[in-house]
Amino acid sequence: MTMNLITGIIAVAIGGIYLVTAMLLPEMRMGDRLGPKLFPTLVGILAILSGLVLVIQERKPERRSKKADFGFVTHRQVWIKILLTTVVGIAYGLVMDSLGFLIPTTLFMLFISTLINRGRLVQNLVLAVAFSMITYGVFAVALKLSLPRGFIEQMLPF
Amino acid sequence: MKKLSTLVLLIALVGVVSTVTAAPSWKPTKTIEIIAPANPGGGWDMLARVVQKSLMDEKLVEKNIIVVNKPGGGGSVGWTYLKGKKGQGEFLAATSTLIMLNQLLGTSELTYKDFSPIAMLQAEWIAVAVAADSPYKDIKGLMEALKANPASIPVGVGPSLGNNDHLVFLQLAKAYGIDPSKVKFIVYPGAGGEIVPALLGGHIKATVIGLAEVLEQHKAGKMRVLGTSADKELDFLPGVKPFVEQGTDLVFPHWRGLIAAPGLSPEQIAYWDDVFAKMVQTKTWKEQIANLGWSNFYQNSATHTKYLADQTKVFDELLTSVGLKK
Amino acid sequence: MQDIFSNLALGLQTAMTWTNILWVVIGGSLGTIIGMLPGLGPATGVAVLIPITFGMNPATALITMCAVYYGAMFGGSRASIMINVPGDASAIVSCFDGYQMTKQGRAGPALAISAIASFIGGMIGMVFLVFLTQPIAAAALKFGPAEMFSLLLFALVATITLSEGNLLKGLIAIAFGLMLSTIGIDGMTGIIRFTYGVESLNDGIDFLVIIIGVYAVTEVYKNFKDTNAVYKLDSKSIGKVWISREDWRRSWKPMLRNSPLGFIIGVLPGMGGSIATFMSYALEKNLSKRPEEFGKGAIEGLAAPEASNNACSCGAMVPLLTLGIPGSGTTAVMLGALMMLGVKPGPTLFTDHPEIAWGVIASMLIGNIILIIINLPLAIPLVQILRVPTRIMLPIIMGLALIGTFFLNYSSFDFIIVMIAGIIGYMFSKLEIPLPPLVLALILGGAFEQNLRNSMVLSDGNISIFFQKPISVVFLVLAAGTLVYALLRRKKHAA
Repeated sequence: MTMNLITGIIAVAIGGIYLVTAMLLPEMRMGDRLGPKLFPTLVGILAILSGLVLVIQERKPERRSKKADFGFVTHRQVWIKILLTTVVGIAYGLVMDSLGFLIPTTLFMLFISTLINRGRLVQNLVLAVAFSMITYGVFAVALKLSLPRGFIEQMLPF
Repeated sequence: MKKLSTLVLLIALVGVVSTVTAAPSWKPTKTIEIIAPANPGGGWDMLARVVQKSLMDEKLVEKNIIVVNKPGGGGSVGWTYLKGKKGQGEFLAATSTLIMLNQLLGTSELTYKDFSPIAMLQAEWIAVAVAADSPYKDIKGLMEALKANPASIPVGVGPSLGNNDHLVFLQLAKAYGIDPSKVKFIVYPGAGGEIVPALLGGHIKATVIGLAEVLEQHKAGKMRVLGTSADKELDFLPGVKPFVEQGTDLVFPHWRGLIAAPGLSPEQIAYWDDVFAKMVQTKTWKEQIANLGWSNFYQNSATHTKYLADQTKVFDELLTSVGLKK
Repeated sequence: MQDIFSNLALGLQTAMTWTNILWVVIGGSLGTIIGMLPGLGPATGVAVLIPITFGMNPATALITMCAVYYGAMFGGSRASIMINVPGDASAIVSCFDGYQMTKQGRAGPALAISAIASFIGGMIGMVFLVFLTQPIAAAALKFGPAEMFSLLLFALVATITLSEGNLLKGLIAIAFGLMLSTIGIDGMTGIIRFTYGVESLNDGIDFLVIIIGVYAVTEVYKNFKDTNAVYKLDSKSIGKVWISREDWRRSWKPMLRNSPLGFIIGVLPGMGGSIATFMSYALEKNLSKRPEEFGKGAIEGLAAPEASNNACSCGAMVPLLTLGIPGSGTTAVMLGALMMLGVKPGPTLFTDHPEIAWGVIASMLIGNIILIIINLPLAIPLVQILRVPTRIMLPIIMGLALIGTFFLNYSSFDFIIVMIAGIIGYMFSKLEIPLPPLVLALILGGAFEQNLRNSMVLSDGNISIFFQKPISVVFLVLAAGTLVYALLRRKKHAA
């Protein structure tokens, strides 16, 4: 499949889901003539129409775009890394409220640097610890921005 | 509505009387967190910071105090965080009428009952204003013109419908027998930042807005404040009568206060009652809120809890009657 | 005229004290650093200062906060130019040609022109602030919902024409951005839209989270393929941190004409640096004799938005100083801080507190000079970052991106959005769907819908309101013209 064909199909699909959701919104007007539905409806139609035209254009051989290559097969390693990063990144955010800033940040940095810079454990450990300490010092201590506080942070004098 | 204004006065009195104190048997044992459920710079954030400064400068608490910003969901994000700190007296959060309105408007499940109300601290008043060249001189003039031809007077409100300002205007409209659904409300998500230029530029003909946002314009003669939701004529705004003196029985403080985590012991609450009763008397606090154009409006924990219960009923009726309740 | 100069002298007197100059240096440097970090922009920088300003006199406080503000504008594009990661929304455009210049070994000139353009934009903005504040503030009041709507429509159309390749893909990106902007509670009715039951989405999606995701996170992913490389180039080809005569010849006109444009956009309520930079870029590309060089390292494509952006931040001071209302998120924070110090900005500020109003204006003069003195030499150590191997740089970018995400809303839910946005950004790059229209549509979508609905309330549902107001008509004509011009040019290319 070519890039434009995929783009067109995605636009039609997402536009379609969006349009249906928009249609299902309750009609409610507090002196507002358009209500909450009209604008989303127009946007949904815009997405579907542009997607359709793009797909139709692709039928002409002379206007056809390049083949899409996500590298799912050729660069499987890259995708595995991306998915791992996504999962760990989300987990990092979720545990911050309970574990505070320092521990999750150090662990996350250790993870991501090991993923990218494999086999250099000492270097990665230094980077992870230094990064979390420096950012905590700069943001929470010097700039007084509020960072999540776990049991380590609560023991600190600042 | 009569009930409401009497209630407000009564509470103000009780607040003053109940500053009698006993030595508290509980004390914070770690850093105190004041949660501002908003981004830096907003009303909640400023309240949290003013409280932090007053308590620390006046040495009313022995532990360090930090302000934690947790914006989102009209406060509910920060409050949900507070809810998880059950029984820990070191966590406080800023609140306002939204703790009642969110649930009534269907945007959040949380109510004041999920927390330990600690204190109401300050109030601002809500104003109805028009441009200086507007023909309307008082609330009556504006409302009668609105009744005669609702379409001719677009009213600016922000950041969204269903907030305090909007509710005040709805109550006024109701008192004059105007169908609220006929009023042309123009909603400005940027609130005062967009409403003031819109009114000066003539794109809207009137607005209902926090008094502080139009006070300087009024003094400079560019706008005219027609009335305020205060209980009496304000000394910094001579010549502008409150709604109650213009024939509508409506007193509406836009107040802010503090709540603590659920499940606090009576000792913990007594500690904070003691601290805040002292704080509202301090020079630092009085200076800071005067700078911000706020009025002192203290209620201790018990009074405030009762006030919240009564107000929830009032809002419930009002929102139901204008069809905004979910 | 006499008045203006005596007032300016008064302002200089206020601003030229050693304390104030020291604070401008501190604030400007702090702002530059904060501006470089992803997600942290001027609003955070100013908020950080609030506790510090407690003890200051109001003029010093405002001068310091302003220094942070335009310091952040100077710093915002550093990361765009060097590692293709914009510090905030107004630095996105600086990636287009700035990063390309770095790839061609012209990081030095790119950083230099960005500092010079910021300086020129700031100075022109300041001159406008001195001489034209009152008439421009009055003109800005003419912008009602209909005018705003047409202006936003023009901005969106102009963005589509920026994207290379198929116009339809730009249009699709706009549609996606508008869709994202409608997620959350509708301010006019209180109805919750498109959250599919996820309560954390009720407040909508913060565009800065998306920016961090599709730029910073995606940039890291793009480098996963080859993590052992040194960051893209060898260190010899960074180039001198100065510009050539040819560079200057190409960029002085764009800087001069985009500064006023940026200033005017800054004055309008609710319009900020993002729209100013996009419009300037579109303007230059359409005026240029070599539009095909844009996006491939054309120096004027970097100079124009940089000048426009800094002039815009001067413009944003106009509503604050003349009306006492915030024209942007950053000035909103400033307003709060000023009120805590007992100053109530408003129409009377210039008469009641001339030393504050004029002190701030004069401090911009000094601040801009100081900032360019800081920023030009700073570029020399800064470009050394490019020598850090990718395998060290990428984890740091990722870490800073996530911390920046946290600071936006202090919310762990945003981590989910930023990670998903990272994947989507990566897929879009594989499909060659342009991201700038999506981001701009997301930023402006809320205001776009709101102004459309407000216009319809005002006109009782009559769409002719957009054709009755002269300012609105001008923008609609410009929008149509831009679109037709872009179509014609593409046809010519195809033929």
